[in-house]
Amino acid sequence: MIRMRPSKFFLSFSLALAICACSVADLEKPVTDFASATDNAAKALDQLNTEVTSAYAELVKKRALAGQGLVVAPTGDCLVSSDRCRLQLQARDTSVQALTPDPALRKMIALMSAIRTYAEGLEAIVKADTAAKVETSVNATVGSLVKLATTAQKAGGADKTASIDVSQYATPVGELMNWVFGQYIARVKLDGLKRATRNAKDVVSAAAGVFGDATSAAAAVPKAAMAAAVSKRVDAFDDNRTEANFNKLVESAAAFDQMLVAKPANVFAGLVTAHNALADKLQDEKLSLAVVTARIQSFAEEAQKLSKILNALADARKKQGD
Amino acid sequence: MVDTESVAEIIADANEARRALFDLELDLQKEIDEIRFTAFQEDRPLTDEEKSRRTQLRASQAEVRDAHVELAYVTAARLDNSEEVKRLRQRMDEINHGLSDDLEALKKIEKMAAKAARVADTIAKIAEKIAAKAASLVG
Repeated sequence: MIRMRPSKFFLSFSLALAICACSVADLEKPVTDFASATDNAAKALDQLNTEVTSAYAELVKKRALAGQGLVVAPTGDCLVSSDRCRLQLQARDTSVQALTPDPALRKMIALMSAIRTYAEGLEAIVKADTAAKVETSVNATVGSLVKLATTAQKAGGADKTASIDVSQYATPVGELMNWVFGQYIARVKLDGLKRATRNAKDVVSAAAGVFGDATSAAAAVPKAAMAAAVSKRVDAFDDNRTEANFNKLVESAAAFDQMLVAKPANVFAGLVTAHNALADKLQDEKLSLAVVTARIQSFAEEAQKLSKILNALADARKKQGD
Repeated sequence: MVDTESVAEIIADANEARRALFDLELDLQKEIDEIRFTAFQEDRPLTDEEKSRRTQLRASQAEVRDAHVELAYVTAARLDNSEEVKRLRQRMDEINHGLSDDLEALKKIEKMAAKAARVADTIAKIAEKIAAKAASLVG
């Protein structure tokens, strides 16, 4: 006869696991949304990097074409035995700038990529279907043990065979094992998420600060282009007061205003707020899930807004070049 | 370019340069606005001379905007090379390593449970074979 006797220890252990309240499932959507918004913020930073580097490269090219500098190679470059060939534009005051500049934000892009990997790591933990896979294995194990018990019963001989159905124990035992494993897995996930977000809090905050500074600096590039567009439209309207010129003037000013009001650096302030909300929720469950969700949503919206503006700028720049 | 500048120093430099460029752009804009307003008040279009002067001022404004672009690139590149960015990258890599370890721990739990299931299955099958053999010997 197979009988399961839950020990006092086993019950206490199960109750202790139950205290973790299985909040991991509640966090799946906010963590997934955070990962998605972080991905968009990373793309926006990448776009900004492209904009600022391309604009600077155009400027250097314009100066070279206008004869404002001499194209030179650094001493030792561009020879048969050289390791490198990196051309520069030398001004009359002997200052130099690279003819084809390196991306301005290469290391910051890599840092943002590490933060994106971190967000994806949180998502992977919260979504890991460990409990489902373990349940399959536990059910299979219990099934095998029932078979074994039945075999052992039969081997005891006809007189030993009682009217005990071994399988009546299998279902509650299996369910109990699955519940205990489920709680344990939730605890492993929760501890992992708590540890990671606690450790990352200061790092994400500091990184977002640097990204914000870089973004504010880099935003001068699209602003310069937009300021030039408004000036051009004002002069065109002054010289020829048509409805078409009026509409173009209003449109260019509105686009510039939208860019100025959007404050691209807001995206990274949003990243910090969203991450802090997630980390704080994990440390202290008193913070409401609605607040966490709202902060992550706000971050997601800022990232999309910036991305939209930068896409429009990139399109405008391409059309200008055509 | 110095590799170990602090972020604060870089931002301070950039802000000072930006202020100087802003003042220059504003002065040029004021002169352009004066030319336009004079013509407007006199209810007439701009003269050729005024247009020529406007063109010169716009060219100077374009140079100021180019200087903004250059400042943007240089500031972004200086920030990129700061010690802070390097340090933060190292910290994030450590945190990501920790997360990988946690995911591995979850996978180990899966593997342990799967192994236990295989072991139980093997034992049950062996026991069935033994029992069947014993039954055939007795029978």
